[in-house]
Amino acid sequence: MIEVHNLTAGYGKRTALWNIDFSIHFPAFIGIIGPNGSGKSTLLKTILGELIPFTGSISLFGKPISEVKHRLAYVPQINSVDWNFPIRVMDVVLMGRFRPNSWGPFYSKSDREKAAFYLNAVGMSEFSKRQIGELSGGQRQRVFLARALAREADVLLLDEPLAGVDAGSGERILSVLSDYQQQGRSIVMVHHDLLTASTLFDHLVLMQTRLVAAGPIQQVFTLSNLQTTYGTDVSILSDMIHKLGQTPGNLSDHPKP
Amino acid sequence: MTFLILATAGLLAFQAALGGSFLLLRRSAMLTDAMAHSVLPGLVIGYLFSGSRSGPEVILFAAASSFFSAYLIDYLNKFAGIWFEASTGFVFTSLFAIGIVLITTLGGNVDLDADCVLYGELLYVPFRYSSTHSWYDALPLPLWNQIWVGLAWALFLFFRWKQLKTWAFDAEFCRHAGISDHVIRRLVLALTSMSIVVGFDAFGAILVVGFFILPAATAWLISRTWHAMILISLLVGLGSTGLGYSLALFFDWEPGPSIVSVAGLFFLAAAFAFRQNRANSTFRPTH
Amino acid sequence: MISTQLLWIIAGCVLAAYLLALSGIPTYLRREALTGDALSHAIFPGVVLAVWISGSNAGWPTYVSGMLVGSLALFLIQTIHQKTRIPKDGATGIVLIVFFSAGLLLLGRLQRSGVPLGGIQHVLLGKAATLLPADLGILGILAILGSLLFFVFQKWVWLEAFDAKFAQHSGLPTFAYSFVLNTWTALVLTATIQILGAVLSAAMLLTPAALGHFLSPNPKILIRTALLSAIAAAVFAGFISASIPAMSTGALMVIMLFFLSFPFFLLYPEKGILMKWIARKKEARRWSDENTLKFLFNSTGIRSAIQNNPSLRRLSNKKLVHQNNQGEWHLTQTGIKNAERIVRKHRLWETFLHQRLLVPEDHVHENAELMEHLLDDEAEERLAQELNHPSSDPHLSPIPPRK
Repeated sequence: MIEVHNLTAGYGKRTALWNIDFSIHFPAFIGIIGPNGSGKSTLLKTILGELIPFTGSISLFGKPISEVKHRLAYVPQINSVDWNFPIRVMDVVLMGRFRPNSWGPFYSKSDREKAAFYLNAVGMSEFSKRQIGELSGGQRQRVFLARALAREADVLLLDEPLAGVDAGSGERILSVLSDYQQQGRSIVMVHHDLLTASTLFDHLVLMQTRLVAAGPIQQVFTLSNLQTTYGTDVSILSDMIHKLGQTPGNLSDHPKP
Repeated sequence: MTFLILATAGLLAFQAALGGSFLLLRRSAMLTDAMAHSVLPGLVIGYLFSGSRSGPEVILFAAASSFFSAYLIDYLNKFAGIWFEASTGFVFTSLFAIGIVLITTLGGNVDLDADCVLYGELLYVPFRYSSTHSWYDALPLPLWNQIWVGLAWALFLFFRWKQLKTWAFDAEFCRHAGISDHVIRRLVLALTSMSIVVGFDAFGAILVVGFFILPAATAWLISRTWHAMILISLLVGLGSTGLGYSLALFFDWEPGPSIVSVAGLFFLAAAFAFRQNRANSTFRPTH
Repeated sequence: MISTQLLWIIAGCVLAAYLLALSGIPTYLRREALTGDALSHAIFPGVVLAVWISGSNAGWPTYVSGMLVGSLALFLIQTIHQKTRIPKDGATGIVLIVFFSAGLLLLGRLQRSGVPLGGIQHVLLGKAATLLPADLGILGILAILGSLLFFVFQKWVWLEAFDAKFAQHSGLPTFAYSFVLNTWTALVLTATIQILGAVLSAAMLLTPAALGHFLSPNPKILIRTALLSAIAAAVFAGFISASIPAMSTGALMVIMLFFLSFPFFLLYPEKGILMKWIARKKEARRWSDENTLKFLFNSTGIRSAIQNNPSLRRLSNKKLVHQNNQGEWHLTQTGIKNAERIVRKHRLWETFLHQRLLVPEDHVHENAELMEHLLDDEAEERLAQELNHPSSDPHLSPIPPRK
């Protein structure tokens, strides 16, 4: 499970999140939702161990993050990579099979098979020899997803994987993620689209610098919680909620017992 | 006599304060270093044509060589897709090597050697006068060169102050504001090339590069405003010259490296005094 | 004939070049080429210091001193960058120049005080002729060691350079890796400083890797190209250096490498600077010619006053236009067909913008002026299909049918 205690974190003098406290049992498909600037990416970075919080702590599987880093896999946002780097698609995915004790310039046969498998899962097999700069945004995102999948980690973390991605790639990514989850692994994902959120996740963390709510989607995805998170007009939300009314993420004003 | 030397140094400090500040702010500090190295082949060719170290051909060829190197670096980066730091390294080391080979092969015809190139002849400035017997004789050649280039900078500043300011801080914004960021960059580079070349003569490569980078960096640490930065660069440049030169005379050191080392110490002192912790960064950045 | 001395010198150059090129690959990939440059300049004072203290040119004091000073330089660059506003390249430049100055200061001092310097002058610019068998031995050992390390840790190199964060998550000890890499680079630079000189050894560190990368994104090819080009340059440099002892070996090697690489950078098909420039000019001409065809199509004829128009000349050479007796330019039959194709693309696009994207008809023209050159035949066909083969555009001009 993931346990977050009194977490406060930020950059320099700016605090991006305040007193976040929640715990969720694994396996889970967790969505971190909130408007821009609400601290979602910061939370993810802190979970990854990239950012050291001002106060508070996070534990995964009952241990501090530094001890379980190897059980995490991360898909970065598209922008943070050098596209001119001399590396081909297959090389990127193979990186997911890296272990510190792998000597020599070659990856084992089973590693290569697994890498090919995951590359295929994201539908990018025919691009395996291309240099990464030749791909479109959505294609790149899929390759990085394949890399993270190849780690076969217990927890997969993604930061807005669908941002700036074409519809075809997006659909592929979502279906791959749900397959991954069905293998009994967990996913923590920063997401921006409420409509897909209701069908995708089984748990939600709603952020507005402070924690609005966290827990199973049936309990958390309520009108009042969404209002607190997004601060929008009742009518807009209830309109949307009507549309979502037929979905498994049952909505009501009051949390189910 | 000392006055002449210090005057020449002072003018260089003025140019370096300007060019150095702009380039530092535009993240092009290493470009100064590259341009200084790239001067060499032009210098040698110019010397072949003119026969003297301070003739106009020398300055022309050397400045052209330096200016051209900045462009080559840019073309390699933009068109051949070579990473910027790799293309910088490639261009300046190649040009420098070409220069060195030219010097050694052309041997006796060229009164240049590696020592001159590096150290310059600061101490001989007062002795290098032009051979035409005219009003030009009032001051040594290197000093005249400095004056002309200094004037060029002053004019540039006077007429283009606002654009320069905008450009230094935000080249992107320039395009929206109707300021041609290409033209300004070109002018700054051209003037910097000129300064490097005329400075080279008296001070050698090392001092010129040091002057361009160190005072500006020191000033950046200390100042809060644009004007302050340039002023402080100038002061640090002059201060380093005074102190460095005195130490060189006293301890029998080469003046060029001595001045740069003093400037370096100023910088380290400022860096220490004005240190700050960068916000949370546990990883080495990927770029 | 080939003397032993010549062989020694060439061997020394080749080993040095190989070692530098190999060791430079990780630094190049990490985008720290300029840091490598600063390092090679920074080692210089270390070497001078060692010579001053130990009185001789060779031996372990040089290596230790070089590595220590090199590490200090790197540490300072990192610290300055992290603790002040100065950006990375500024910090690199600063450390480079200050250390190098300190080195020159020391060197000058040594020269004045008459300390027997041996080969230290050549530390600046390199002179292979001063190589001793012991130096060669050390280079050989380092080359073997380096090759082994590179072979074993090749994956680490690529992974850490490409995505250090991911590497750290995967368990790669990034801090230790950086430390070892930097120390190794300093060691290699110190070992080769006698041959290549402080100023130019950085070039051998990075240019081979840059050439390799330019030619291919495939890591294997990159490595092979880098090593081969370095060795080639070294053989030439060694040869000439042995024949003309006055020449700086470092400069020779760098020039050889330059003559090897630059033609590629310039002329390599599709990637070279010149080739790209030519391609752009060609493209510009195509646009211009297509516009001329369109213009002729829409008007009755151009007077001879525009005779010197290069576009018309090109079109005339291709038999797409001709001049009649009055000197007016007209389209030939083939010219008409070509012009119609472009006009078709232009008007189809206008229709698309207006019908599907609801752009007002007085706004569609400019965009179509650009798109008409960019649509290929397949796109044109699909566009027509998508719009149900319209017969006229938003301005009610007829769309020429596909022939």
